[in-house]
Amino acid sequence: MSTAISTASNTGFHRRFSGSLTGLLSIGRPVASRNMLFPLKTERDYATEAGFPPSKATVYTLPTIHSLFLNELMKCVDTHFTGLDFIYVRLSSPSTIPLPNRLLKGDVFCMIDIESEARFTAAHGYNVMAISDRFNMKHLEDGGDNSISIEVWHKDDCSVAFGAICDFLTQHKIQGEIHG
Amino acid sequence: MKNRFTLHGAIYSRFNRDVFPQGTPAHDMMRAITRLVGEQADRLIERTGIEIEQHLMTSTALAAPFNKGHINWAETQALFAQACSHPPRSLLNSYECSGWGYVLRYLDRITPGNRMVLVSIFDANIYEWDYWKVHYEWGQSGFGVGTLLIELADAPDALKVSSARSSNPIAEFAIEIRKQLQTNPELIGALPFFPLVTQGIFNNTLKQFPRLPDLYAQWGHCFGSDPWLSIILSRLNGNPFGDVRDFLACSLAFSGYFSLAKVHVAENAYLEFVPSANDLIEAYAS
Repeated sequence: MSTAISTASNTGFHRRFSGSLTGLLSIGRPVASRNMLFPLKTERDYATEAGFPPSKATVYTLPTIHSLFLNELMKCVDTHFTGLDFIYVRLSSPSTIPLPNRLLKGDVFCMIDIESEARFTAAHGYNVMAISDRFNMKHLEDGGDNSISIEVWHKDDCSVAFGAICDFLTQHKIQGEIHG
Repeated sequence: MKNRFTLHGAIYSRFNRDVFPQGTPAHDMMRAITRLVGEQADRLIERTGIEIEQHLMTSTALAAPFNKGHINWAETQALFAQACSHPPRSLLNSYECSGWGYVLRYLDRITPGNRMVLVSIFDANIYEWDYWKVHYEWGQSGFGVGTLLIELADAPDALKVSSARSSNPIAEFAIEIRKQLQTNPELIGALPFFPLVTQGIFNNTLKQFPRLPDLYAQWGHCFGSDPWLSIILSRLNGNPFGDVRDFLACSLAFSGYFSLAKVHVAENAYLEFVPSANDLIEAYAS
């Protein structure tokens, strides 16, 4: 069942894209999510909501569109990358729609903050991708500033594959820079 | 080859009233949470004398302070470092109540050596949102924090994590449990706690299979902790099946993900139930 952890650190390819969503995502057909599953009801609910730090984001993403976006992004990753051991995705619940099936596979691990986990496994020699977006879906517990980053640690040179991911992001109104 | 997960220790501390007054700063809340979780982890290690390799934390209800920008994980890690010797490296809640199964699947891949891991399950309604108190899908919520010290299994079929494909996840989940209990007749089902109407589906589908009692009436739905609380209490207080140690731990998420694990409780396992941890967490927050 287990795969032995390597003690050698991954010293090959390391690159990071960081950017932000600049316009409405248009993927698939917008479908209403089930926001009414987690309604704000009481005075305290509204007071709590009003007490959070305000978001400056001007682009809003429907949770269903966000899910489609991640699914398409994963298709792009699967098309262009080989040998990835782990793909970490920053995600949270409560969710108003189930995760796409691809995000439930054994090589994907979804967390509130992926940085420490991605660095930990990359340092142990695994080929790792970390996808972290904070798209603004301020419908319940999820806020966001529309930032997104994708970071890859790989034993092999993945310049071409990484370029394809960056192209995908550009096609979806995400502007940013590559580091590393 | 270990064909089951071995539970060497487990502590569950319950919250029986609101945990923080309105307006408590996120940093104070997180300081209290990290201390409570951290002390549980350290206590388990001390009582069992087992060295662990990994510690991860999962939750269904604890996402808002991170998502809303009230606090980040790096700050939380710093608080953990002050609070305990074996802090969790990461926190996840994407898989909701089934999170512990996804954690075990993941840890299996990255844990060599003695294969001992800690999994903490924390659920509290820290902002007292109404929908976390009672929900038409899972009924009355029960909050608390649990930590499990588990030796990972080697057999691939010791754990099943999946997602319901139909529009009736509860029935699909029940059928999956039936399949597992049919092929493993020595296992006792430890199911999630649900209101009577939902229990009816389990009673119907799993009529002839042994299950620990549903404790919804006493504790409400305790998210991912249900099967573990059930196992702890069955060992501490007794159960209809006598001195049983082999269970099928089962959790179903709101979004249809589910986790089923074959679990053996070690003979000298350290098990503890704390009826109320409210005074402690309030003291830690102040």
